[in-house]
Amino acid sequence: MRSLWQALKLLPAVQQQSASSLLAPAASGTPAAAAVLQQARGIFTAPPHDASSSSSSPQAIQQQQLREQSTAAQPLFARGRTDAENQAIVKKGIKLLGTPMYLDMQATTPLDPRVVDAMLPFMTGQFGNPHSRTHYYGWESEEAMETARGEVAKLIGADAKEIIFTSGATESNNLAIKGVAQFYREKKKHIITTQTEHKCVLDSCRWLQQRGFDVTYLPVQKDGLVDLDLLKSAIRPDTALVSVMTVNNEIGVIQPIKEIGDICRSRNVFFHTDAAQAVGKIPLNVHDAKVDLMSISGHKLYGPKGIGAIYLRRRPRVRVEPLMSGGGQERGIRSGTVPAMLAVGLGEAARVSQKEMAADTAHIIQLEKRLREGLMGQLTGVELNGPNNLQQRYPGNLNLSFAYVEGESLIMGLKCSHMVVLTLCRYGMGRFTTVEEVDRAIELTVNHVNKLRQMSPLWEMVQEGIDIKTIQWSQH
Amino acid sequence: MVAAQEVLHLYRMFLREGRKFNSYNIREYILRRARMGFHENKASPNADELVQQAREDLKMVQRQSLVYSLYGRGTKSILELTRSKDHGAAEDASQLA
Repeated sequence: MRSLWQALKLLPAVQQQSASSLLAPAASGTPAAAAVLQQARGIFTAPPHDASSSSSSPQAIQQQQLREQSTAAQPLFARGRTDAENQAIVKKGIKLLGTPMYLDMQATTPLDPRVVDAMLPFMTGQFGNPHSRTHYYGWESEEAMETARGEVAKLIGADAKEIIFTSGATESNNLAIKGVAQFYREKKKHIITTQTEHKCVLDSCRWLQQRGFDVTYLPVQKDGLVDLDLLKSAIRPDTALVSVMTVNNEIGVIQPIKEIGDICRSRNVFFHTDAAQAVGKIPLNVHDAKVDLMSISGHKLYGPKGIGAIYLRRRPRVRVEPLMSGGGQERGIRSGTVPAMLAVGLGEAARVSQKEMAADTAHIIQLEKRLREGLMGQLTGVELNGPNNLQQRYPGNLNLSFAYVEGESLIMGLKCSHMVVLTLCRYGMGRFTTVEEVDRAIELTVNHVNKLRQMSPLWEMVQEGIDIKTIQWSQH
Repeated sequence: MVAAQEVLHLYRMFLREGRKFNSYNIREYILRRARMGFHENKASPNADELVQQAREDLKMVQRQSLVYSLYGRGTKSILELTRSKDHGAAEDASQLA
């Protein structure tokens, strides 16, 4: 009896009431005490799993009701774990018990702890403006910024003077396309790009079209690669720029940058490449590839968000009309105070990427093989989008199509099972992805695909042996 | 020459400090990378440089372990929570509210 009273005293409801009303034995009937005792009974007899699986006895229903009233009580004793660990996060109608696994490295990457370590001094004590020339705070920030610039340049084989910091690859793309087109608009009116470029490139081209430029959107082949003959035939005497991304963010195809660079150099056309997904992951050299402009994104190589860079060749010089002029920072090409903390983060991310490139690539190749073979081995009707050859596809981007399954439904199902987050059945793996995550991804995907296929009438028909192509679909 | 004792000590420290990270992915990365780095460079000629680098990296790991414990996510990864139990439990437990 004593221990029960002691336990009861811990309940918040009990602490609010005076001690005297509880001295009466349990059977007495003041309503408040009875409610408290009921709650206590509910807690102590709570079954070790969720409300959905409780029996339909009156006691159980009461317990269920009590549990729904007090979210603190249920998980607290549910599995014998502590409060913090058991708080379920509810977001957008999905209840999450733990942090979901992250498999969307193409969208963004986590900060490498080395990058955080490099950035923290500039977020705390070393807060100077790098453009302040007259005092120590400015000098130290400027020195850090220039070191970072050097690291980024080293990663792509460029000179530090050729790197301009921007707010990200989107701004760099805009600057490259609009800037080159506007600067050379007297004589050159034509831009060539591909249909699979990033939205910012396509939008910039459309913006130029509205201002009188001609744009050719080259189609890509089935595996995502650009047809070089088509490119050669598309170049006109008044072509200013060819823009082809190095690694595609949807299917991971690596375009033949060297060949495209040769073609452009021979025809005297500027070559811009959006290397946001490629920098730090595959070896890049702007001189070998004959690239004139390159966009770099910070948050795709385990660096901070909000910073990127553009590489502008100096020999032969590429001139651009700045988007953000009037201020004069960054050689007048991109005005605005360079955020020293972010630039330092980008520089450190570049340095770490260079150091870890071989190790990361080996790890990611191993993960990709495991994931692909696991899924293709346990499921039929799985198709790889993109070239099979790993020389032409970045392994960290695995884009698969599952026949007879709708992509959206699959993503929703996986979200509830704590798997983040493929878009369009794309698995993005990176430096921090583990083998355990890959194994769990295989398991969850196989489960969900099978579940969805059971519900799919098309799948039933295929299992019965009906040829889909012979079906006459009626029009509604 | 670098003492084998020190190298071993550094390796153990990496593993010990790495385990303290509260972020699942970073922790696993540090453990994997340390293991790989120390095994690969067992017979390396420029051991002194590498050991110096390792000492600095270790200090970084210690600092960041503190930062992540202060500012990292409070909740554990779903992989840790459902590791030893049946994987199905995680799926059943998370419902559409």
